[in-house]
Amino acid sequence: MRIDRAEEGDAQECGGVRPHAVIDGGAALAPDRREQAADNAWYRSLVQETEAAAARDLWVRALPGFRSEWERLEQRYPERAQAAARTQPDGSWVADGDRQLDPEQNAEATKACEDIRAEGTEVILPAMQRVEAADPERQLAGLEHMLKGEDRLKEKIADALKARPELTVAQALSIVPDPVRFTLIYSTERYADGVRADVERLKAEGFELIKLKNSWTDGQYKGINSQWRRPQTGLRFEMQFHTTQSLEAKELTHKAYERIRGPDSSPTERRESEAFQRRVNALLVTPPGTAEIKDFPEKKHG
Amino acid sequence: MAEKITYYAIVDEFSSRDRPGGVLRRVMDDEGQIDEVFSRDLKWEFSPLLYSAERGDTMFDFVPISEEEAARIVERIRELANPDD
Repeated sequence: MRIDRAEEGDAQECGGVRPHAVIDGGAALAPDRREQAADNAWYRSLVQETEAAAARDLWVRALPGFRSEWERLEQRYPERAQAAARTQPDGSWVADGDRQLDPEQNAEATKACEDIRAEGTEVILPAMQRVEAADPERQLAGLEHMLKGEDRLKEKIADALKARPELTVAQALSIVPDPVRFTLIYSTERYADGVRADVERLKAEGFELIKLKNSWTDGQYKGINSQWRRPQTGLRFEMQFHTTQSLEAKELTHKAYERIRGPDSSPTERRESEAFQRRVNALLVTPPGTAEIKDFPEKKHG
Repeated sequence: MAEKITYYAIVDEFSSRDRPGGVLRRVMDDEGQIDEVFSRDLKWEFSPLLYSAERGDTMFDFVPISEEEAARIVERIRELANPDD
Protein backbone atom coordinates (compact mmCIF):
# COMPACT_ATOMS: atom_id res chain seq x y z
CA MET A 1 0.00 0.00 0.00
CA ARG A 2 1.32 3.44 -0.89
CA ILE A 3 0.39 6.66 0.81
CA ASP A 4 1.30 9.89 -0.95
CA ARG A 5 0.15 12.28 1.67
CA ALA A 6 -1.73 12.29 4.89
CA GLU A 7 -4.97 14.11 5.29
CA GLU A 8 -5.94 15.64 8.58
CA GLY A 9 -8.64 13.05 9.12
CA ASP A 10 -6.16 10.22 8.62
CA ALA A 11 -3.96 11.57 11.35
CA GLN A 12 -6.85 11.75 13.80
CA GLU A 13 -8.02 8.28 12.89
CA CYS A 14 -4.58 6.78 13.37
CA GLY A 15 -3.98 8.64 16.59
CA GLY A 16 -1.09 10.60 15.15
CA VAL A 17 -0.25 14.24 14.63
CA ARG A 18 2.48 15.40 12.30
CA PRO A 19 5.33 15.95 14.72
CA HIS A 20 6.91 19.15 13.41
CA ALA A 21 3.52 20.81 13.41
CA VAL A 22 3.49 20.75 17.18
CA ILE A 23 7.17 20.93 17.96
CA ASP A 24 8.52 24.32 18.86
CA GLY A 25 9.24 25.73 15.46
CA GLY A 26 12.56 27.35 16.44
CA ALA A 27 15.25 26.64 13.89
CA ALA A 28 17.80 25.84 16.59
CA LEU A 29 15.65 23.03 18.05
CA ALA A 30 14.24 21.67 14.82
CA PRO A 31 16.44 22.27 11.82
CA ASP A 32 15.17 21.18 8.41
CA ARG A 33 16.86 17.78 8.52
CA ARG A 34 15.47 16.98 11.92
CA GLU A 35 12.00 18.01 10.79
CA GLN A 36 12.42 15.86 7.72
CA ALA A 37 13.44 12.85 9.82
CA ALA A 38 10.48 13.38 12.15
CA ASP A 39 8.17 13.67 9.14
CA ASN A 40 9.57 10.47 7.66
CA ALA A 41 9.09 8.57 10.93
CA TRP A 42 5.56 9.87 11.22
CA TYR A 43 4.69 8.83 7.68
CA ARG A 44 6.23 5.38 8.24
CA SER A 45 4.13 4.95 11.36
CA LEU A 46 1.04 6.10 9.49
CA VAL A 47 1.70 3.64 6.67
CA GLN A 48 2.19 0.79 9.16
CA GLU A 49 -1.00 1.62 11.01
CA THR A 50 -2.96 1.95 7.77
CA GLU A 51 -1.57 -1.33 6.45
CA ALA A 52 -2.39 -3.07 9.73
CA ALA A 53 -5.95 -1.73 9.57
CA ALA A 54 -6.27 -2.90 5.95
CA ALA A 55 -4.95 -6.35 6.91
CA ARG A 56 -7.40 -6.58 9.82
CA ASP A 57 -10.19 -5.69 7.43
CA LEU A 58 -9.01 -8.32 4.95
CA TRP A 59 -8.93 -10.90 7.75
CA VAL A 60 -12.47 -10.06 8.89
CA ARG A 61 -13.74 -10.30 5.32
CA ALA A 62 -11.96 -13.62 4.75
CA LEU A 63 -13.32 -15.35 7.87
CA PRO A 64 -16.73 -16.39 6.44
CA GLY A 65 -15.00 -17.93 3.41
CA PHE A 66 -12.65 -19.92 5.64
CA ARG A 67 -15.57 -21.16 7.73
CA SER A 68 -17.39 -22.30 4.57
CA GLU A 69 -14.22 -23.99 3.33
CA TRP A 70 -13.90 -25.93 6.57
CA GLU A 71 -17.58 -26.96 6.41
CA ARG A 72 -16.94 -28.38 2.93
CA LEU A 73 -13.92 -30.28 4.22
CA GLU A 74 -15.97 -31.69 7.08
CA GLN A 75 -18.61 -32.86 4.60
CA ARG A 76 -15.94 -34.56 2.52
CA TYR A 77 -14.37 -36.18 5.58
CA PRO A 78 -17.15 -36.75 8.11
CA GLU A 79 -16.06 -36.89 11.72
CA ARG A 80 -15.54 -40.47 12.88
CA ALA A 81 -17.17 -41.82 16.00
CA GLN A 82 -14.45 -42.24 18.58
CA ALA A 83 -14.52 -44.53 21.55
CA ALA A 84 -14.38 -42.42 24.70
CA ALA A 85 -11.15 -42.57 26.65
CA ARG A 86 -11.86 -44.63 29.75
CA THR A 87 -10.48 -46.41 32.78
CA GLN A 88 -11.02 -50.16 32.56
CA PRO A 89 -12.22 -52.41 35.39
CA ASP A 90 -8.61 -53.51 36.03
CA GLY A 91 -7.55 -49.87 36.53
CA SER A 92 -5.80 -49.45 33.18
CA TRP A 93 -6.71 -46.61 30.84
CA VAL A 94 -7.35 -46.82 27.08
CA ALA A 95 -8.14 -44.32 24.34
CA ASP A 96 -8.21 -44.06 20.56
CA GLY A 97 -5.06 -44.70 18.59
CA ASP A 98 -3.89 -47.63 20.74
CA ARG A 99 -3.15 -45.27 23.58
CA GLN A 100 -2.96 -47.01 26.91
CA LEU A 101 -1.63 -46.74 30.43
CA ASP A 102 -1.32 -49.71 32.76
CA PRO A 103 -3.12 -49.55 36.15
CA GLU A 104 -0.07 -48.20 37.97
CA GLN A 105 0.65 -45.58 35.29
CA ASN A 106 -3.02 -44.57 35.25
CA ALA A 107 -3.15 -44.17 39.04
CA GLU A 108 -0.01 -42.00 38.95
CA ALA A 109 -1.43 -39.83 36.16
CA THR A 110 -4.79 -39.46 37.93
CA LYS A 111 -3.10 -38.32 41.15
CA ALA A 112 -0.90 -35.89 39.21
CA CYS A 113 -3.98 -34.35 37.58
CA GLU A 114 -5.49 -33.64 40.99
CA ASP A 115 -2.28 -31.99 42.22
CA ILE A 116 -1.94 -29.95 39.03
CA ARG A 117 -5.53 -28.75 39.26
CA ALA A 118 -5.03 -27.54 42.82
CA GLU A 119 -1.71 -25.79 42.21
CA GLY A 120 -2.85 -24.34 38.91
CA THR A 121 -5.95 -22.79 40.43
CA GLU A 122 -4.57 -21.72 43.79
CA VAL A 123 -1.06 -20.57 42.86
CA ILE A 124 -0.48 -20.11 39.14
CA LEU A 125 -3.78 -18.42 38.26
CA PRO A 126 -3.47 -15.61 40.85
CA ALA A 127 0.06 -14.92 39.59
CA MET A 128 -1.19 -14.69 36.01
CA GLN A 129 -3.90 -12.31 37.10
CA ARG A 130 -1.27 -10.09 38.73
CA VAL A 131 0.69 -10.11 35.48
CA GLU A 132 -2.47 -9.23 33.55
CA ALA A 133 -3.26 -6.34 35.89
CA ALA A 134 0.10 -4.71 35.12
CA ASP A 135 -1.03 -3.52 31.69
CA PRO A 136 -4.64 -2.76 30.74
CA GLU A 137 -3.90 -2.90 27.00
CA ARG A 138 -3.85 -6.72 26.74
CA GLN A 139 -5.67 -9.46 28.53
CA LEU A 140 -5.79 -13.13 29.40
CA ALA A 141 -8.06 -15.16 27.15
CA GLY A 142 -9.70 -18.55 27.51
CA LEU A 143 -9.28 -18.99 31.25
CA GLU A 144 -12.04 -21.61 31.15
CA HIS A 145 -9.52 -23.86 29.35
CA MET A 146 -6.59 -23.22 31.67
CA LEU A 147 -6.54 -26.78 33.02
CA LYS A 148 -5.86 -29.53 30.52
CA GLY A 149 -8.51 -32.23 30.72
CA GLU A 150 -7.51 -35.41 32.51
CA ASP A 151 -7.94 -37.66 29.49
CA ARG A 152 -6.10 -35.24 27.24
CA LEU A 153 -3.20 -35.20 29.70
CA LYS A 154 -3.17 -38.99 29.75
CA GLU A 155 -3.20 -39.05 25.93
CA LYS A 156 -0.15 -36.86 25.94
CA ILE A 157 1.63 -39.10 28.44
CA ALA A 158 0.74 -42.21 26.42
CA ASP A 159 2.02 -40.57 23.20
CA ALA A 160 5.25 -39.57 24.94
CA LEU A 161 5.82 -43.05 26.38
CA LYS A 162 5.31 -44.58 22.95
CA ALA A 163 7.91 -42.30 21.38
CA ARG A 164 10.35 -42.32 24.29
CA PRO A 165 10.85 -45.92 25.42
CA GLU A 166 13.22 -45.04 28.28
CA LEU A 167 10.92 -42.57 30.06
CA THR A 168 8.99 -43.42 33.20
CA VAL A 169 5.48 -42.02 33.70
CA ALA A 170 6.83 -39.58 36.27
CA GLN A 171 9.41 -38.32 33.78
CA ALA A 172 6.83 -38.03 31.01
CA LEU A 173 4.53 -36.13 33.34
CA SER A 174 7.35 -33.82 34.35
CA ILE A 175 7.96 -32.64 30.78
CA VAL A 176 4.37 -32.12 29.66
CA PRO A 177 4.57 -28.38 28.98
CA ASP A 178 0.93 -27.41 29.26
CA PRO A 179 -1.02 -29.16 32.02
CA VAL A 180 -1.91 -25.58 32.95
CA ARG A 181 -2.02 -23.04 30.12
CA PHE A 182 -2.76 -19.40 29.58
CA THR A 183 -3.02 -17.04 26.64
CA LEU A 184 -2.31 -13.32 26.52
CA ILE A 185 -3.67 -11.36 23.57
CA TYR A 186 -2.29 -8.07 22.28
CA SER A 187 -2.95 -5.64 19.50
CA THR A 188 -0.70 -6.20 16.48
CA GLU A 189 1.03 -2.88 17.06
CA ARG A 190 1.94 -3.56 20.70
CA TYR A 191 2.62 -7.27 20.38
CA ALA A 192 6.43 -7.47 20.34
CA ASP A 193 6.99 -4.98 23.16
CA GLY A 194 4.14 -6.52 25.11
CA VAL A 195 5.56 -10.04 24.88
CA ARG A 196 9.00 -8.88 26.00
CA ALA A 197 7.54 -7.01 28.96
CA ASP A 198 5.36 -9.94 30.01
CA VAL A 199 8.24 -12.43 29.83
CA GLU A 200 10.03 -10.20 32.35
CA ARG A 201 6.90 -9.94 34.51
CA LEU A 202 6.58 -13.73 34.62
CA LYS A 203 10.21 -14.00 35.69
CA ALA A 204 9.62 -11.36 38.35
CA GLU A 205 6.80 -13.56 39.69
CA GLY A 206 9.47 -16.20 40.36
CA PHE A 207 8.78 -18.51 37.42
CA GLU A 208 11.60 -20.06 35.42
CA LEU A 209 11.52 -19.86 31.62
CA ILE A 210 12.16 -23.32 30.15
CA LYS A 211 11.43 -22.71 26.47
CA LEU A 212 10.16 -20.00 24.19
CA LYS A 213 9.22 -20.84 20.61
CA ASN A 214 8.56 -18.09 18.10
CA SER A 215 6.40 -19.59 15.33
CA TRP A 216 5.59 -16.42 13.44
CA THR A 217 7.60 -17.57 10.41
CA ASP A 218 5.96 -21.00 10.37
CA GLY A 219 3.20 -21.92 7.97
CA GLN A 220 0.93 -24.05 10.15
CA TYR A 221 0.72 -21.90 13.24
CA LYS A 222 1.46 -18.30 14.16
CA GLY A 223 2.19 -17.18 17.68
CA ILE A 224 4.73 -17.51 20.46
CA ASN A 225 4.45 -20.36 22.94
CA SER A 226 6.49 -20.41 26.12
CA GLN A 227 6.98 -23.08 28.75
CA TRP A 228 7.51 -22.14 32.40
CA ARG A 229 8.28 -23.92 35.65
CA ARG A 230 7.41 -23.10 39.22
CA PRO A 231 10.70 -23.89 40.99
CA GLN A 232 9.10 -24.77 44.34
CA THR A 233 7.26 -27.81 42.93
CA GLY A 234 8.49 -28.23 39.36
CA LEU A 235 4.97 -27.71 37.96
CA ARG A 236 5.08 -26.55 34.37
CA PHE A 237 2.66 -24.29 32.63
CA GLU A 238 2.37 -22.73 29.22
CA MET A 239 1.87 -19.13 28.24
CA GLN A 240 0.85 -18.46 24.64
CA PHE A 241 1.27 -14.97 23.22
CA HIS A 242 -1.18 -14.09 20.46
CA THR A 243 -2.65 -11.20 18.57
CA THR A 244 -6.42 -11.11 18.37
CA GLN A 245 -6.21 -12.44 14.81
CA SER A 246 -3.66 -15.20 15.48
CA LEU A 247 -5.84 -16.49 18.32
CA GLU A 248 -8.85 -16.44 15.97
CA ALA A 249 -6.79 -18.37 13.41
CA LYS A 250 -5.79 -20.92 16.04
CA GLU A 251 -9.42 -21.44 17.04
CA LEU A 252 -10.59 -21.54 13.42
CA THR A 253 -8.07 -24.27 12.57
CA HIS A 254 -8.43 -26.30 15.76
CA LYS A 255 -10.62 -28.95 14.16
CA ALA A 256 -8.21 -29.18 11.23
CA TYR A 257 -5.40 -29.77 13.71
CA GLU A 258 -7.45 -32.50 15.39
CA ARG A 259 -7.79 -34.17 11.98
CA ILE A 260 -4.08 -33.83 11.26
CA ARG A 261 -3.05 -35.47 14.52
CA GLY A 262 -5.87 -38.03 14.51
CA PRO A 263 -4.63 -41.62 14.29
CA ASP A 264 -7.43 -42.63 11.94
CA SER A 265 -7.19 -39.73 9.47
CA SER A 266 -6.24 -40.67 5.93
CA PRO A 267 -3.11 -39.14 4.38
CA THR A 268 -5.32 -37.18 1.97
CA GLU A 269 -7.49 -35.81 4.77
CA ARG A 270 -4.35 -34.88 6.67
CA ARG A 271 -2.87 -33.14 3.62
CA GLU A 272 -6.04 -31.12 2.94
CA SER A 273 -6.38 -30.16 6.60
CA GLU A 274 -2.78 -28.95 6.59
CA ALA A 275 -3.40 -26.95 3.43
CA PHE A 276 -6.40 -25.34 5.13
CA GLN A 277 -4.28 -24.41 8.16
CA ARG A 278 -1.67 -22.87 5.88
CA ARG A 279 -4.21 -20.80 3.96
CA VAL A 280 -5.72 -19.41 7.16
CA ASN A 281 -2.35 -18.58 8.69
CA ALA A 282 -1.01 -17.04 5.49
CA LEU A 283 -3.44 -14.17 5.89
CA LEU A 284 -2.20 -13.14 9.33
CA VAL A 285 -0.15 -9.99 9.70
CA THR A 286 3.17 -10.59 11.44
CA PRO A 287 3.43 -7.95 14.16
CA PRO A 288 6.35 -5.53 13.74
CA GLY A 289 9.44 -6.41 15.76
CA THR A 290 8.45 -10.05 16.19
CA ALA A 291 11.49 -11.37 14.31
CA GLU A 292 13.70 -9.95 17.05
CA ILE A 293 12.11 -12.20 19.67
CA LYS A 294 14.45 -15.19 19.70
CA ASP A 295 13.70 -18.75 20.71
CA PHE A 296 14.85 -19.78 24.15
CA PRO A 297 17.05 -21.65 24.48
CA GLU A 298 18.43 -20.54 21.14
CA LYS A 299 18.48 -23.40 18.64
CA LYS A 300 21.75 -25.31 18.65
CA HIS A 301 20.63 -28.56 17.06
CA GLY A 302 21.27 -29.85 13.67
CA MET B 1 5.90 -38.32 -6.36
CA ALA B 2 8.13 -41.12 -5.13
CA GLU B 3 7.86 -41.92 -1.45
CA LYS B 4 10.08 -39.66 0.61
CA ILE B 5 11.04 -40.41 4.21
CA THR B 6 12.48 -37.84 6.59
CA TYR B 7 13.84 -38.99 9.93
CA TYR B 8 13.94 -36.92 13.11
CA ALA B 9 15.75 -37.45 16.40
CA ILE B 10 13.51 -36.84 19.41
CA VAL B 11 15.23 -34.74 22.06
CA ASP B 12 14.00 -33.70 25.49
CA GLU B 13 15.35 -32.97 28.94
CA PHE B 14 16.16 -36.61 29.59
CA SER B 15 18.08 -37.02 26.34
CA SER B 16 20.39 -34.97 24.15
CA ARG B 17 21.27 -34.34 20.53
CA ASP B 18 24.18 -36.77 20.97
CA ARG B 19 21.96 -39.40 22.55
CA PRO B 20 18.41 -38.81 21.29
CA GLY B 21 15.55 -40.34 23.21
CA GLY B 22 13.70 -41.68 20.20
CA VAL B 23 13.18 -41.48 16.47
CA LEU B 24 10.28 -40.33 14.30
CA ARG B 25 9.88 -40.66 10.54
CA ARG B 26 7.63 -38.67 8.22
CA VAL B 27 6.60 -40.64 5.16
CA MET B 28 5.33 -38.55 2.25
CA ASP B 29 3.87 -39.71 -1.04
CA ASP B 30 1.23 -38.61 -3.54
CA GLU B 31 -1.56 -39.28 -1.08
CA GLY B 32 -0.18 -37.19 1.75
CA GLN B 33 1.89 -37.96 4.78
CA ILE B 34 2.00 -39.98 7.96
CA ASP B 35 4.29 -39.70 11.00
CA GLU B 36 5.48 -42.75 12.90
CA VAL B 37 7.75 -43.34 15.90
CA PHE B 38 9.76 -46.45 16.62
CA SER B 39 7.89 -47.47 19.75
CA ARG B 40 8.72 -49.44 22.87
CA ASP B 41 6.80 -52.27 21.19
CA LEU B 42 9.64 -52.33 18.65
CA LYS B 43 7.53 -51.33 15.65
CA TRP B 44 6.78 -48.17 13.72
CA GLU B 45 3.53 -46.69 15.04
CA PHE B 46 1.55 -43.56 14.25
CA SER B 47 2.49 -40.52 16.35
CA PRO B 48 0.95 -37.04 16.54
CA LEU B 49 4.00 -35.52 18.28
CA LEU B 50 5.60 -33.71 15.34
CA TYR B 51 2.23 -32.32 14.26
CA SER B 52 1.83 -30.96 17.79
CA ALA B 53 5.30 -29.42 17.65
CA GLU B 54 4.37 -27.74 14.37
CA ARG B 55 1.38 -26.31 16.21
CA GLY B 56 3.63 -24.74 18.85
CA ASP B 57 3.93 -27.59 21.36
CA THR B 58 7.26 -27.36 23.19
CA MET B 59 7.49 -30.82 24.79
CA PHE B 60 10.04 -32.30 22.35
CA ASP B 61 12.56 -30.99 19.86
CA PHE B 62 12.68 -32.76 16.50
CA VAL B 63 16.02 -32.67 14.72
CA PRO B 64 16.27 -33.91 11.11
CA ILE B 65 18.78 -36.77 10.88
CA SER B 66 20.13 -39.20 8.30
CA GLU B 67 18.70 -42.65 7.70
CA GLU B 68 21.92 -44.12 9.14
CA GLU B 69 21.55 -42.21 12.40
CA ALA B 70 17.89 -43.21 12.57
CA ALA B 71 18.93 -46.85 12.19
CA ARG B 72 21.37 -46.48 15.08
CA ILE B 73 18.62 -45.11 17.35
CA VAL B 74 16.31 -47.96 16.33
CA GLU B 75 19.05 -50.44 17.16
CA ARG B 76 19.61 -48.86 20.57
CA ILE B 77 15.88 -49.07 21.35
CA ARG B 78 15.91 -52.75 20.36
CA GLU B 79 18.87 -53.38 22.67
CA LEU B 80 17.11 -51.64 25.56
CA ALA B 81 14.09 -53.88 25.05
CA ASN B 82 16.17 -57.03 24.76
CA PRO B 83 19.37 -56.43 26.72
CA ASP B 84 20.41 -60.09 26.60
CA ASP B 85 20.24 -60.42 22.80
